[in-house]
Amino acid sequence: MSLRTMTLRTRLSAAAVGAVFAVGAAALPAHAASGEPGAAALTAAKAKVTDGLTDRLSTLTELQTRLAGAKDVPDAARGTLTSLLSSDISGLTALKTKVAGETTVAAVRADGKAMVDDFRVYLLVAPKVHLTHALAAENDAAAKLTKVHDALAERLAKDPAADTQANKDLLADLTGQVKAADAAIDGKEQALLALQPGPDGKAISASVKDISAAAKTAREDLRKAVADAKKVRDAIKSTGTKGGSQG
Amino acid sequence: MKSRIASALAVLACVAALAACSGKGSSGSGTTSPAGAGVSSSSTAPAGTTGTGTGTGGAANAAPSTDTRAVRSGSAEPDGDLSSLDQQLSAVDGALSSAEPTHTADDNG
Repeated sequence: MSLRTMTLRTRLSAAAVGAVFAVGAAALPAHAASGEPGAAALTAAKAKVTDGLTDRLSTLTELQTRLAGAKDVPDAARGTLTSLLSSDISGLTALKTKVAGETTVAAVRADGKAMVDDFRVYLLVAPKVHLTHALAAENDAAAKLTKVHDALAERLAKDPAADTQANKDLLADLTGQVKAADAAIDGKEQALLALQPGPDGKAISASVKDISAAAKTAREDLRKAVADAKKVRDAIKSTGTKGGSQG
Repeated sequence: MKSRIASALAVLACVAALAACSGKGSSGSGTTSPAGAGVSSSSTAPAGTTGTGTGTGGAANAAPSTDTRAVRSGSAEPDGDLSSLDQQLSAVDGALSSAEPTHTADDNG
């Protein structure tokens, strides 16, 4: 056997193997040919997105319960949030059905993106419910503190022993704190409810954090106002006690 | 004779006047507690609702009247006002506590 014959056999074998690979490649499914994973990957992707949808639906149901229990939320805001929660539950439920019927990982991946970008349940919807309630509670607290201020001012006017400059200053500070709280949260509820879901998660997060920070500032102002009111109340109690023991 | 009739009429007038006076007295004492309850509740209402001029202004004007004061001491005198204030401040504390965040924004979308 000559060297030339060996070379010819080797060349023929190589050609045969190449032909087999070529035929096999043509027979593979499209996703395998394009480098996409197979059925196991599709199943895994579906499971992951479906879990995400289930968790979001559960959160939305919890938010519905929380909203129902938040009695101080104004009717208009309640209506907006109720509609939002209902439409999101409908939308995510429909998406869940769509995911179940998908045949490619790419389609499931697109559904997963829609689940996040089109709804923003955690980044936006949940804060909308929580912060709307917080802002309403702070508005309510500010209104109550204004009444408390008026009542304390009247008490001081009737009680010369308690009508000191220090107590007047405390009442003035109380008024200032309530005004500051009002200013901090003015228009925030409307701004919050106007935020829309979308692909720019960072922008949504920044907007929500701004409103959350304003609510926190207002809360701190109102707590200072409460502290002022308690000091004046204690002073009135103190003079009343002294008056009682003297009289 | 005329003088007797006149004195009899005078006596009758006195009796009638006394009866009228005692009638007022009895009806007054008879209605003290409901009237007191009514005043008490009505004086509590302004303190609870607005706490503004009406209730305390009324108390200041009524100060010389011991009856009014006695009635008010049940609910709207200093201790009553202050307990109402305590309740309002407690309500504010509750509202602010409920406003505390229970959920932080989730970056997971």
